[in-house]
Order: sequence, then structure tokens, then C-alpha cells
Amino acid sequence: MIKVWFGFDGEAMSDPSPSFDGLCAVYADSWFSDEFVKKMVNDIDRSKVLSPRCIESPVFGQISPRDLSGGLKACILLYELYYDDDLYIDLTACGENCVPWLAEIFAKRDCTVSCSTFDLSFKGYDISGVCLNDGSEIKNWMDFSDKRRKFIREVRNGGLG
Amino acid sequence: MKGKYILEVYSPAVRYSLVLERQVTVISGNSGTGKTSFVDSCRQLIGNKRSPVKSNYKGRILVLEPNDNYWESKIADSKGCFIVADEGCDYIRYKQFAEAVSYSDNYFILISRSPLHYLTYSVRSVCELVSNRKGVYQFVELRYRVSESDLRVHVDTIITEDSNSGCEMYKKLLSDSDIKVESARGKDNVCNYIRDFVERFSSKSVCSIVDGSAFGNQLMDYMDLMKRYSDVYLMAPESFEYLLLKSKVFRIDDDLLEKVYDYCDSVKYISWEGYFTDLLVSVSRKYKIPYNKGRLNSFYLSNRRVCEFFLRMLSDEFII
Repeated sequence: MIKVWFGFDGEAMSDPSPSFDGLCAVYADSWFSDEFVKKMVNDIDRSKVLSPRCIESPVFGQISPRDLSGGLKACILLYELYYDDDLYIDLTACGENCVPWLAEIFAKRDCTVSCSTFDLSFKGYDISGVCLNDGSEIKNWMDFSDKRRKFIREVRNGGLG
Repeated sequence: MKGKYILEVYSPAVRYSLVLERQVTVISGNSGTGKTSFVDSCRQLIGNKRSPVKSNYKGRILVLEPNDNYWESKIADSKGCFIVADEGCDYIRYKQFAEAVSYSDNYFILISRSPLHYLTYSVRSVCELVSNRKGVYQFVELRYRVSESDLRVHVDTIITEDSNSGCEMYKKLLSDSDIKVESARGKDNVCNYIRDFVERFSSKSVCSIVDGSAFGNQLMDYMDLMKRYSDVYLMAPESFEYLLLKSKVFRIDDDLLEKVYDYCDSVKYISWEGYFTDLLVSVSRKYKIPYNKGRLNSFYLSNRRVCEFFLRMLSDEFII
């Protein structure tokens, strides 16, 4: 299930890299041994996990997990650290190619996020949760889209960006 | 700053080649396409003379950092510079940033999937990175997020962004057709107007005609509407004034419309929209047929060349 605040929230991470890079030093062994994470690496960044600290990129050759894309890092954090109250990511970090994975993560995990982007559509995916702006239920992708339009505008008009 | 630039940044593995002809370029799109790597390459390029990253651009490239408290003065002190900012720079969404960009003598490359509400930029400023492999290198280029459709569609209603000259013109031209013309009364109202319209008339198809030169910050919202509802379309010519100039009702140098980047100085204009308006106002004055954005001179509504040009454009897009 997703709990989402629509609009720009300065407290949310629009770039998950600093958190990911710091935590990766501790958790890389368990994160990159997980088959679900390996599949995300393969699909989103078209790369292959060779070992927990070495990824094979088709462009850069062997890279560190720190060099993965911001969208993939956000997905890994949401999947692995969903229980961490301090983890508050803005979905603007994720591109459209993260959507199938986000939908699967939100089906498996309870995640709290913000969303200041329109560049992400859950069309065709089962998505449900709570809109934190007014506490209302999000029943499906259309609801997500409608509430996002309404609240991103409201938050902006309130002067928060 | 004005002009068209091909900014090339090349590292041992990747060659970025970005064609930049407007003051603001916003890069969004899928994860893993190389946005952050591009910013990192720029960072390496300017931070280390022995860096393996090179560029064809001999001027200055400046990378803004997320926690930089001096970004305003850095922009103000720069001239003829490519200024790059990644998504983590939250301040690119702020009004102060838009004010610093407006009339600045620099070009900006901003990585952002969120709309930058306070900035004025074109739908053709909103790009993504696409890459293909040639030999040992990965070549990365920019591509517009909106593509021109060659499909003619049937629409029941056209929504214009403005309530004055553009709306008047389309109303007059389509008065004999079944297509209704309504005004959203402002760029910021277009998305809500469309949503309300499709909620009220779910069986009707609708297209907005907007000034593409300044609609960039609404584009992703509008594209989400197009995914949300079927039969919602978008037509985004540069501006209404651009179309009047293109109709050849006045004799002007083609370069003024084809190579706008050579004439539209960012110090004078925050977008090409203002440039086209000023150009039309000055040319029409010479011809003694002054153009007024607030109320369209009846000459334009009745001139055969203008009407034929607009009708041709509409019939290229719509089944009239």
C-alpha cells in the first residue's frame, strides 16, 4: 500500500543518492543478493549484478552500486527499507520505467512517499493507498492521477513550490 | 545569450551531444538514461584539468550543487555560460530561481521530472536523453518529449489558452463547422479546464491550442491528462503571433522565424513567445495594420491569406 503526499515537500528526498550511498556501505551484501533487486537492476539500468559491490553496466563496464541511477536507488530503498520512518522519498526520482517495479513494491510493502511529478503514470497497474493531503482513499490509478493534479496545484498555490 | 550550440561532453565511454537553442532545457525521462552521469561528467570536466572528460565548448560550464547557498550570486555573476543543475537542487523549483534565470545571460540545462512552475519554458525545451551504441562509444542526444503527430483526429471542441486574439480567430474560422471553440482564460487554467470538460462531456473529444513557447511547465500535467482520458489532444505551435507571422501576410526575412535562436536574446526575452509578439507588433506597425494582443484587428480576421493559412493548419490536424 502507498501513503502519498502530493506536491513538493522540502523534507522529502528528490535525490536518494546521498542516503543510498551511505547505507549501501552497510547493506550492499544483503540488498544485492536479493533476486528482486537483481531483476530491478537488470530492467531499470540494463545492468547485471556480478557481486554485491560490483555491477556490470553496458556503458561504463564494471561500476559500484553508487553509480546506479537515481530511480533504481529509490526503488531499492523503498523495497528494502520500507519500514524505516526516516525514509521519505519523492517519486520525482523515478522515471516511467520504474513504474512496474514501484507498483509491485507498493503491493508488497507499506511505503510512505511524496510525489511532485506528473512524469509517472500508474495506468494499467493496481495501485491503492491513502492520500496524505486529505486522508482520503486512493482506489486506483485514475484516483492517483486526479488527486495528484488537485493537490500539486493546491500545494503550489500555498507557496511551497 | 543567444545562438544555437551543440554542446559535446565526452568521457572515455560516453559522448553527449546536446543541441541547445533555447535559454532553458529541462531533461526528464526514464531512469538510467544518463542524466546524472551527464552532470557528473560536467563536474569532472570543470573540476580537474587532467580529467579524461573533454568538451568542444570553450566557454564556461557551471554545475550548481544541491546545498549551494550562493547559487543566486553565481548565476548573477555568470555570462555566456552553460549552467547545469541536477534534480537534487530543490531550489530550481523556487520563484527566486525563476527570477534569477529570467533575463540572465546564460543557458540552463536542468534535470527535473517535476514541473518548474515559476519558470517560463517551451514544450520543446522538455527533452529526454536517448542513446545508441556506435563502436566503443555510447552516443547520447536530446529528444523532445512531445512528438508531432501525423494523425488527423476528429475533435468536438477546441480550447484556446487565451480569451482574446487567438480565441477570436479560431471562433471566426470554425464558425461554419461543428467544432466549438472555448477559452480556458489563461495558460495555468488549461489542464483544469480540460479535466472539467471531459468530466462533463465524457463522450466528446477535445484539443487545446496553446502557445508552445511558454507551455513547458504545464506539459507533463497535460500529458498525464492525455493518459488519463482518451480523446484529449494537444496542439502547441510556438504562439499565435508566430502563426500570424508564418502566414506570410507580411514580408519578413525567413531567418527571423527559422533561426529564432540567433535573434532572441535571453537578456531581453524570457521565452520565444515575447520575441514573436514584439516582432509582430513592430512589423504590423510598419504595414499600418497594428497588432493588438488584447483585441484582434479585424484585418486579420478577414484577410484571405491569413484565413487560408490557419484553415490549412487546422485541417492538417483535425477532420473539419
